[in-house]
This record gives sequence, structure tokens and C-alpha cells, in this order.
Amino acid sequence: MDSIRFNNQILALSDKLFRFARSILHDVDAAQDAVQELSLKLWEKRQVLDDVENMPAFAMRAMRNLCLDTIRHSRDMEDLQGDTEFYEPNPYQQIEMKDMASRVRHMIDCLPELQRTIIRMRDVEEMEISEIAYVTALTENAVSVNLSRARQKIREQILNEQKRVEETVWKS
Amino acid sequence: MEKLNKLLEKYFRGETSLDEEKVLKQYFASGHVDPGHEPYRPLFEAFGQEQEIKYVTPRKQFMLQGNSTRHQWIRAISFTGIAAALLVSLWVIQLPESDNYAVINGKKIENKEFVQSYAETKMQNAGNILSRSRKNIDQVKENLEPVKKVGEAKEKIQDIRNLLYTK
Repeated sequence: MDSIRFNNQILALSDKLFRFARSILHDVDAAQDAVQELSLKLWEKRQVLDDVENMPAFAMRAMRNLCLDTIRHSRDMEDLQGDTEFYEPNPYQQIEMKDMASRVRHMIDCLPELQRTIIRMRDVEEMEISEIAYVTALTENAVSVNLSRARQKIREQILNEQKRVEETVWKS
Repeated sequence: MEKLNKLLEKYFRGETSLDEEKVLKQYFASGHVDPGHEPYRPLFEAFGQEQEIKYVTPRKQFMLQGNSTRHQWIRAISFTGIAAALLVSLWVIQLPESDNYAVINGKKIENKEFVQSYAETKMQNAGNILSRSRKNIDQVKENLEPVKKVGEAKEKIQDIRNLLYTK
């Protein structure tokens, strides 16, 4: 793979890879680093990239592995245990998340890593279930189950939030 | 409406196709959402917002941030210092036939766009580290302020002693 093809096929995926890394790592600087590190690794292996059939899925899988390695090294899997339950944002966060869409993004951020990765790959990056299964190394059925769980959790939280807002309005 | 209700239920079960999900996204973006579906509008709005997130190279981010003059000045100094250190790890060699390449982690890299982006990220990271260190130094200085008052207190004690002994 020459420079032009590399720039067109890999560097063109930077936005997608950045969003993906940001979702896993919860850190903009670390996500920028991850994009650079992955680009460097892929550049070093550019000779074998010509054989890759689905470059976006391949790059996303490589990015996920890189991010999970980073988390393993820095936080001893703390974030990967699936115990990051949704918490009510403090008043300061509430001002920042003044619109409901921002709060929904916060809800997604609080999902376990696998679920938030899958819901974002599907609903933000619009990837096929088969591609998500390749990235996450799961079966397509397992992806669908996790996607459904993630969406149901968010739905539940949105409806609870709605109820809470309505109660507040009634009380006042 | 019934069709949309069924589609939404199917969506939450994780059974919709990408085309069906596109229909839902268009519906929620249309501005004509049924009041019963209104709670779900922010969900699809959130996905739209996330699609807008772009990877900004550190150089562009620096230009977009619009920092104060003081902050920019500190960064400019940091960048100058880092540039020298960076040359040690990233050695750009100009060949006689004007063929440019860089060596990163011992690997020869000829992709100019990639090298530039890589160097910018590393410089930005180093700048962030220096900026954090400077904050720490400022904090130490601030914490040392009460220590300066020890000297003043000592002088006052000396004055009292002098008064006592002279009498």
C-alpha cells in the first residue's frame, strides 16, 4: 500500500477511529494519541494491508484492541467490569448537560464498555451486525443481545428521567 | 403511527435493519414527532450529535481554542523547547535528491502527511505535560506564601525582645 492509498483508506477513517477511541477511553487526549499510535502501527504493516477486505472494520477492531490494552495497563480493568452504573449528574454536570441529548450521551457513556461500544458502532457509525461481530470478536447473536440490552437500558433511563422531570414540574 | 410504534419496539429489541433505523432517524429529525414518541427524540438527537464529532489534529485544536495571549505565550515557549527535544527522537533527513523521510521509533517513514500529524500530536502532548508541571510549580509557590510570614514574625519577636532587654 503506497502513501496515497494509505492516506485515502486509513487517515480518512480518523474521525470514525477517534470517536470510537473516545467512547472506549473516555478521554479526548488519549483518543488522539490512540489514533496516532494506530496510524503508525498500520503504516508499519502497510505491506499486508492490501489483503484486508473490509478496511474500516479491520481498523476499528485494531483500535478497540489498542484501547483495551491501554485501559488494562492504566486502570487494571477497572472500567471493563461493567460496574459503571448510571449516576445522577451533579448540579455542575447538569448545567453542562442542559439539553436532554447530552444527558443521553452521558447515559451511553455509563454503559459497560462492550454495550456502549456496540450501541455506538451501530447507531453512530451505522455498521452492520456482522462488522460489529468482527470488531468485538463475538457472534452476531451475542452482538444483537448486547445491542438490545444497551438500548433497553437507555430507554429505561430516559423514561425514568422523563418521570422525574414531570414530578418536579408537578411539585413546583 | 402503529407502524412507527412497532418499528420502535423492534429497534429496542435490537432487531431493526440499518434501513429501518434510517427511517426512525429521519422521523425524529423531521420535527413532526408524535407526543408519545417525544421522550425518544433526544436519543436519536444524541446519535446525530456524536456523528458530528471530528478528529481535530492538535495544530487545528490549538488554533481553534482561542487561548488568552498569556496562555499562547507559555505554549509558544513550551513548543520551542520541545522542538529541540523532538529532533532527538524524530530525525528528519534531507537526501541530496530531495527525497524527504522521517525516522519514528527507528522506522523510516516517507508519508509526509502522517509524519506531520504524528509530530504535532507528540508536541501537543509534551506541551500539555509542561503546562501541567507549571501549574504544579505555581501551586507550590502559593503554598509557600505562609512560610514568608515566618521571617516577619521573627523580626517582630526580635523587636519585642529588644524592648524587654533595653528596659
